[in-house]
Amino acid sequence: MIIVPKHRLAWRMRAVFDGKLPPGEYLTPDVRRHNPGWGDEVFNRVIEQLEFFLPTGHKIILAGMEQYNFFVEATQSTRSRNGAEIQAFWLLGKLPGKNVVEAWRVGNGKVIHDKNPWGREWGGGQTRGWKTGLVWHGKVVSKIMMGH
Amino acid sequence: MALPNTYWLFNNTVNDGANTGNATGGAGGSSSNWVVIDLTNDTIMFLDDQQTDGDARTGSKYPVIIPDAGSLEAPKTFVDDLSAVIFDQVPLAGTTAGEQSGGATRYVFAIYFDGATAGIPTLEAWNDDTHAANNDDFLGGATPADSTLLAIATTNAAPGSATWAGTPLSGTDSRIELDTAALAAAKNLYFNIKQVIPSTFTPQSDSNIVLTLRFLYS
Repeated sequence: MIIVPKHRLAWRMRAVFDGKLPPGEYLTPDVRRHNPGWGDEVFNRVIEQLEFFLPTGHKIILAGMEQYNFFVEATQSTRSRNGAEIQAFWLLGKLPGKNVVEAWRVGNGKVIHDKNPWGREWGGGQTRGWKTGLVWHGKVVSKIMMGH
Repeated sequence: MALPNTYWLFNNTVNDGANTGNATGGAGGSSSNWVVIDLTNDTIMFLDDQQTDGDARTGSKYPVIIPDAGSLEAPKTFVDDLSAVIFDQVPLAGTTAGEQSGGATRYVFAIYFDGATAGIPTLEAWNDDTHAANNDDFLGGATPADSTLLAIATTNAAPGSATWAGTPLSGTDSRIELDTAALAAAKNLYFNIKQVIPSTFTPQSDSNIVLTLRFLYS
């Protein structure tokens, strides 16, 4: 486990892998300034838990999901002077055995929790980059809590 | 699937051909010619047919005239090109109801992605670059379906009709998907767009509308 002082984890995402083989986790850099690396297939391990760390000291946790996804929502307009701008970060988990996706959106100073249909999880459309999760006999975690 | 670079381009010919030059545009398929839009300085404009291709951008500008009855498709579409100092016409924009070469035209505006995306990119319209509101009168006020900007994705096919209706653009309430799936690799996405002004429209002088591309990466 990588030990980092509180709040230095802000705006970072951690995927904790199943099993005891190293590495035990994948920790992104600050995703406001760096690519998350999630979609680059840099790891192909079964995920036990996904966490996203907020600057408030809270973290969002998803666990026990059949599949996971993480992505950044960006915009570029016809008045964009500095390229694309980040609008939000998304953590998603597909509930085991159900065509339902637990979705957490962090953006515009708000955290929004929602449930969306599988295959229509963002903007009514399908997303890429889903990775396999470890199912705990149907027990799932999808919550926000204090503590990095 | 890192953050892709995106480039907006337009075809300034009457030749309906693909953007083969990707990020840099230039000569394209079927003798088309693609020009990169400078998002910092250039502006897409819907103007009256008195405006002529190549007019100096410092000269007269002819706005669309609100019709007495019914509705009017903006006769011509231009890009106010700061570096070329001209109004550069986009002749294939719009439908046959306009006064240029629109219709079932496919290769009009392009957005080139130099990498993959995690979701289907969408095209939207907002009051301004903050993307906080979409209630400008040009965007339908409180009724997105009444937006004066109507677009159609043409990435995979030309519009099915020379008088295509399109989808009103207004925030995330009414927008178009530019493809049918997330992009697996670099790709050009295409759309056609028109402005239709109803006789009941109230003239605006302070709008700062933007077209917005929204996409996902991971």
